[in-house]
Amino acid sequence: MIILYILLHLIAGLGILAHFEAVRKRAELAGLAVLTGMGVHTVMVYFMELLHINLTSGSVLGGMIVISLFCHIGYKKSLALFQHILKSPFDAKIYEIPFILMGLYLVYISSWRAYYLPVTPYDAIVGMDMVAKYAAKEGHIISSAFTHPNLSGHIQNQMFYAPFTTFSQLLYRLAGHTIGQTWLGVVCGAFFLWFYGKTRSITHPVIAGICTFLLIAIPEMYAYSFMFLTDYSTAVFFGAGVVYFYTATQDGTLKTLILSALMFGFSVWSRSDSIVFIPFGALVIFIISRKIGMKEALFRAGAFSAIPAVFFTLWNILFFQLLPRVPQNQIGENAGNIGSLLVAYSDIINKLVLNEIYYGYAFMILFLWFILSLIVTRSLKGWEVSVWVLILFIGFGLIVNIFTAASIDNTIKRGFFKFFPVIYFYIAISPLSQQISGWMYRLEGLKSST
Amino acid sequence: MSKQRNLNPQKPKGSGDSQTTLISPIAGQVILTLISAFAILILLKLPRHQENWWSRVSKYYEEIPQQKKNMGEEQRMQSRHGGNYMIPKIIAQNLKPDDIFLLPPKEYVQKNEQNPNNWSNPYVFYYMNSEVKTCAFTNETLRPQATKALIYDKKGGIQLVELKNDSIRNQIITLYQAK
Repeated sequence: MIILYILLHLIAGLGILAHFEAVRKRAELAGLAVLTGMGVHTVMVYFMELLHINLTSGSVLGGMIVISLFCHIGYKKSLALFQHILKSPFDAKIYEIPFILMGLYLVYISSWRAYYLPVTPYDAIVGMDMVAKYAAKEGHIISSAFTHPNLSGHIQNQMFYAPFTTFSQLLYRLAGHTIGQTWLGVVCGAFFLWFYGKTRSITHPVIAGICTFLLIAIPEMYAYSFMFLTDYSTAVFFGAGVVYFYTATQDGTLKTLILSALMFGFSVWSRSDSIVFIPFGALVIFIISRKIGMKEALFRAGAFSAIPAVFFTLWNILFFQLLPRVPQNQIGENAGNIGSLLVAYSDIINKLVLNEIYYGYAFMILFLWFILSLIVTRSLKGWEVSVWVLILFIGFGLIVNIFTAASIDNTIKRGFFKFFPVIYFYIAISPLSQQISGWMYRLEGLKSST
Repeated sequence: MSKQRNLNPQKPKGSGDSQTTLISPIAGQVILTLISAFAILILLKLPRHQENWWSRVSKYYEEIPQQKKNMGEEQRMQSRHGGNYMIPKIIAQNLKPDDIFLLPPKEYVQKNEQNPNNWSNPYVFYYMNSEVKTCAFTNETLRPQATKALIYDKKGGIQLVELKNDSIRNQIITLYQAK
């Protein structure tokens, strides 16, 4: 059943990605298609609930098949994509083997633990998996988990976290995986396939391998590749959003920008607070696009913001109207207070950025590589990616400052996962890495130009 | 061997035109393979990776054969959740359909369990078992209707108490509230 599910995610995702020429490398395409397909199938669950369709093993599987095929309605694009895939040469090299073996080993352990271990984190038990468990049992998202008298007088915010993870868990529960969080293994595998595939299309595979390895070796993030919370999936989609944001600034097309917005949309679908970062991205798009014309710049910034806003509206506004209970206002007393905002930033730096245990060497490497790259190449190329590090930092301070439930020791500690795909993608495309990449290509007698 | 690769516009300056190499491409690939393997070894040995990540990964790997022998859902729930899974289960087995179980406050559980669990949270309990009718300790309206409660004995074992009358109920409430 897992194989069938993955295949359906892949088919649905390929149908969507057929419309975006920016994704054409095989590994990148496969990884992103699975992630996109999962996103599409969770949106399907949402609409099935809105239409009062009973959620059963049969109905969701049927729905997934229909939706996956429906994604290929623009079949000419799909055909062109399949022809392209068949024609592309297989260009894996011997020096990629160590990274591929290591990656397979780590994804295997991650997927095994995701499959084997029961859902453990408290937030998932009283939140996302609670909703998924009773939805699977009772056939509707709005189940006894929201209405049972045992739970009256209490409200758990975790049940109202964004839907991607909840619905993924529901789909896999309905496929017979009543223990564990098998879908997380799928996300983890697809994520690394995509990240490696994407970075190796931009830089030398050895650099791509090192960056991917460093990304998977982040202790805290690796642990959540098999523990059910929202932060890992959000970070995965956020990373994809930033990567195609950068691609869009390079190819200049609105289409790639929409792909980026779709990924940011799924990030919001995985965790609503990701919406905080979107206006900053829209501002950067506006600034970059001004040279094409004011109208176009405004349109692009608007289009970029609109897709995540739709995802936010579907869940946090529309669906909340249907729920029997919703969490109270979560805006804290100190929201907007500059003093407490500065305290939040200083705490974030001291407790998290400088932390030696949680995140490996990510921030140290970023800082050193950025400076070294600047000194050696005198170029700020890739700023469209590194600016997201700044945006994330600003955004996390705001989240701590605005929302009462957001704590640095929990919310932001794991929210920080969003940094790492961005950081290691930046390292891969930084001018210094590009220079080293050129040397590596010459070492094997290849040109590094198109 | 000199097949060109497609790279994006981020190509490095001055690296695209010359194909002159000092060594053969095969030797170059062998060197790059060694660089890859060496890079992995070095990165694994770095203290922050070794201590906080790789040591755990190795442990996870070693656990897999044993885990494969214990594939039953019951075993997996028990070994991962311990009391959080077992206590609601035991309670459910010992209650009549009409019983209402009074959930003890968190502080009472923490005081009496060696590795405190959070099974007495109404949500955790409902997640583990939805059959039992429960009453949260803070629910003062429903509390007088509760019929069963739980106490720990001196050895840390659990015992179910029937809340036959108000006197027993008040004794239990006092016990739960004791600092």
